[in-house]
Amino acid sequence: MTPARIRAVLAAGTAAFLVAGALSPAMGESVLRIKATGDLKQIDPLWTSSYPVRDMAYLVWDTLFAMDAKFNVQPQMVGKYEISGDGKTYSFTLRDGLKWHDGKAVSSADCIASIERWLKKDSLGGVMAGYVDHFEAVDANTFKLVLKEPWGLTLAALGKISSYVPFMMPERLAKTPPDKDVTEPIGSGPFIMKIDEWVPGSKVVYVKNPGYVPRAEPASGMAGAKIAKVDRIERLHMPDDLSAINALIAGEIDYIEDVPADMSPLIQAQPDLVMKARDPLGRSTQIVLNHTQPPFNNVKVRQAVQLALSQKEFTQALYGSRTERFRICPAMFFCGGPYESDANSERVMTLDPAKAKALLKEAGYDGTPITVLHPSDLKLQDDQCTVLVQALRRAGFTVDDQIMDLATMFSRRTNKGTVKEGGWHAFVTGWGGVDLMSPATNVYMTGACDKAWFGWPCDKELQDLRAAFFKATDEAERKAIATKMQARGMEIVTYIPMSQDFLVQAWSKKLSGVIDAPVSVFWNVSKADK
Amino acid sequence: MLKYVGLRLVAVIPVVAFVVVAVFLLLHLAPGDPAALIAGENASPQQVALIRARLHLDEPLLAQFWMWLAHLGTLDLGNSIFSNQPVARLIAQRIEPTLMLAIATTVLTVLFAVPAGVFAAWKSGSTLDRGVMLMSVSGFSIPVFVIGYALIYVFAIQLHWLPVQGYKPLAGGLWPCLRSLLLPSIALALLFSALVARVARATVLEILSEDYIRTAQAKGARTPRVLLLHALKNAGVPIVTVIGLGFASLIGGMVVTESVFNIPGMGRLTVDAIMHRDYPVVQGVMLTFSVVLIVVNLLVDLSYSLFDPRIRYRGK
Repeated sequence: MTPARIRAVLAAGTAAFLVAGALSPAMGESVLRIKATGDLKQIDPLWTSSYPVRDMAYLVWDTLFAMDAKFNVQPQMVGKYEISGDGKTYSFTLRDGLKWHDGKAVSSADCIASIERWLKKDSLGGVMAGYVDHFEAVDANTFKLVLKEPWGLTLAALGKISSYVPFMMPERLAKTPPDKDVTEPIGSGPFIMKIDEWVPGSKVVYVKNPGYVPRAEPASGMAGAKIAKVDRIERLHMPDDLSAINALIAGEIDYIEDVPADMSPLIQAQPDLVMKARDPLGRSTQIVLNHTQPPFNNVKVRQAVQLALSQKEFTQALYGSRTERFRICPAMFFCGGPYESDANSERVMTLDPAKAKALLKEAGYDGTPITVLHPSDLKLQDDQCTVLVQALRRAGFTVDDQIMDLATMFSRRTNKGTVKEGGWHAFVTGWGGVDLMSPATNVYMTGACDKAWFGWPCDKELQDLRAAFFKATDEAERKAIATKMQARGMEIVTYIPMSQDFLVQAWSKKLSGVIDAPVSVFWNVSKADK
Repeated sequence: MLKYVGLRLVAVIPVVAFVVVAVFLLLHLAPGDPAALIAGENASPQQVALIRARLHLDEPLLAQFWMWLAHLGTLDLGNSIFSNQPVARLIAQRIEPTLMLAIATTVLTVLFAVPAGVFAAWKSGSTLDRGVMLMSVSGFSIPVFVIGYALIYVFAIQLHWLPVQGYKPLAGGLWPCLRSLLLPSIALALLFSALVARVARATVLEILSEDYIRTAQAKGARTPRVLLLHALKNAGVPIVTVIGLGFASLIGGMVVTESVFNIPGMGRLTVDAIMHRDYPVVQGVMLTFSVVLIVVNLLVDLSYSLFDPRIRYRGK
């Protein structure tokens, strides 16, 4: 290499270093570093039910309505709204100053297209679609939703928190066909996702949206002012929990979304760290039984499983004496939610293997092996399946405990065939409280046979009750119907709720303004320099 | 020589073709449905079916294979079926941390293990020899994550000298990059050194008993000259072979170290893609690994002539 060429190479290298320096976070910029619960693998919140995608979407996209800390629906992007006297026409006017991240103004056409896409993608949206007559853009900021008949859940549906949230997107993205996913994170939320810095499996970066106009009300749950108080958020996917905790202790990251129960003492020993459950509802574990396959096509056998299990035993096996981590709960619509009830929960709340055996005998159970789908790659689910298998055997079931990875379990549970054809009898899964707290969003409580969620419970009475819930015009009536739905659900064993547990999070005391909410959101959070 | 290299590169084609077909079949015949994973744990069967159709996962295996092959024919590795990002981009994002860690580990290993092996052979049976062998056995026996956690505890948590986790790209400066790699490369080098030191010791020990070593000593050559010029140079072929193969295996086999130190490398990308049945990513990564392995093997083969002038390459 000639001296001239060496100089050229050195000059190019120096230039590359300088350019790279310019691309790194600016000096003095406040950066919030988070160890996320799961990895962000997609962008479109209507393409997947994944909670990490929903959580990301709340930073980037906004909603017309949102639920506050008491689960009351509040306007969010909407400035004012009116409901006609006959309850069939909703008129929405957007707040002033709303802009997409590309600088264009949010319009009625954008919102109409976004709602229309959501109606096609979400199960609650599908119910609402049955009520919608048409949309009407009055002007750039006002539009009308006209229903065929009054539907008391309209605003609650538009402000729902669970998976498949009706986020507002620019019309060109909202027109994406339902069988394709949105790949541009252009929203109107308080943060902008830096797609060029996204490293799937490692890091997602958001920066403050300088054009965001927050509401005047204080932040409450998912509602109120969403003020970005840090310049940049780095959401890191760290596969090793112990390394994440070490990084938090060393000050390299500021926040951990899920502290494993056995590692809580490491955080508690640190005076500069806070540990708390932010989500007041938490999540719950469910035992799902396949109603289409013998012996679980017999309701008595399903009821025997209720008696074979104990919430206390189940949770203690997972969390030991850490009672702040779980709550024994007889409600199918979650304890702490608006439709909490203990109707017909005696079997679920009673551990009685002898009675379970008697029920099995009465049902004529012939010892058919119960195929349990047992994923071993997630520790919590692995432990839960181990406890389930042991409890079933104790009650007299023959169990075929099939160990597999999560991908295989996800694939296998879609199979409606017999076990010989690749089918199954039982699996364990978990949902967040915001998904299960209402008959409108609780997927287990449809009784919709082939169209029901995995397990495919088929029950006309439950279908009628759910339809009545949607038709109900006041909250007291809805509460009464929800209680009846729980009684029926417990009777036919649509699923077996196994207590509620709480995602415990930890953060540095440098952070302030962390709000309690069912979703990990980071507006309102500021970070002190020292 | 050039003809030899050309022929070796041509011989790569059937090997890569075999890898491509084998990986495709192994992946697609394994149970697991990426559509169900994309849809998420709480999706309905209808939503899963919609995604499956969109990704052509409901089409016959042969049709899916031709589709992928057609893309590959235009040097397009396709897109991840999860993130929709080009596979080439995903690999490009991950290759730098992996290469830097592999290079740092190899440099540390060569600097430590080769001299240790040579001295152990020279002082065979001594305390030094036993010490090197003890280190070698320990390196093999202690899991790399245990070493990793111990290093983090001492140097990051207690002394605050080095970061607990993370990778700083080379573009942000050489020192920050090396600083972020120091602990993981030491953890890996302890394992790698165990192998290299043993091979170096055994090979040099054998060579030290050769007649030409005795002749060199009889002619009054000083010990460093005997060890470096006569013994180590002649022991170079097996040592370089082990280092080369070790380097190649480091490229894809550092997943535990990458996880403990939160380094976004190829190992994590591979395991993640396999767990999620992200077929295009796994296929792209395997293709990259096979090319890296072949290139490293070729370089190792070519380096033999530096150590042994009798080795000459001719294309036939």
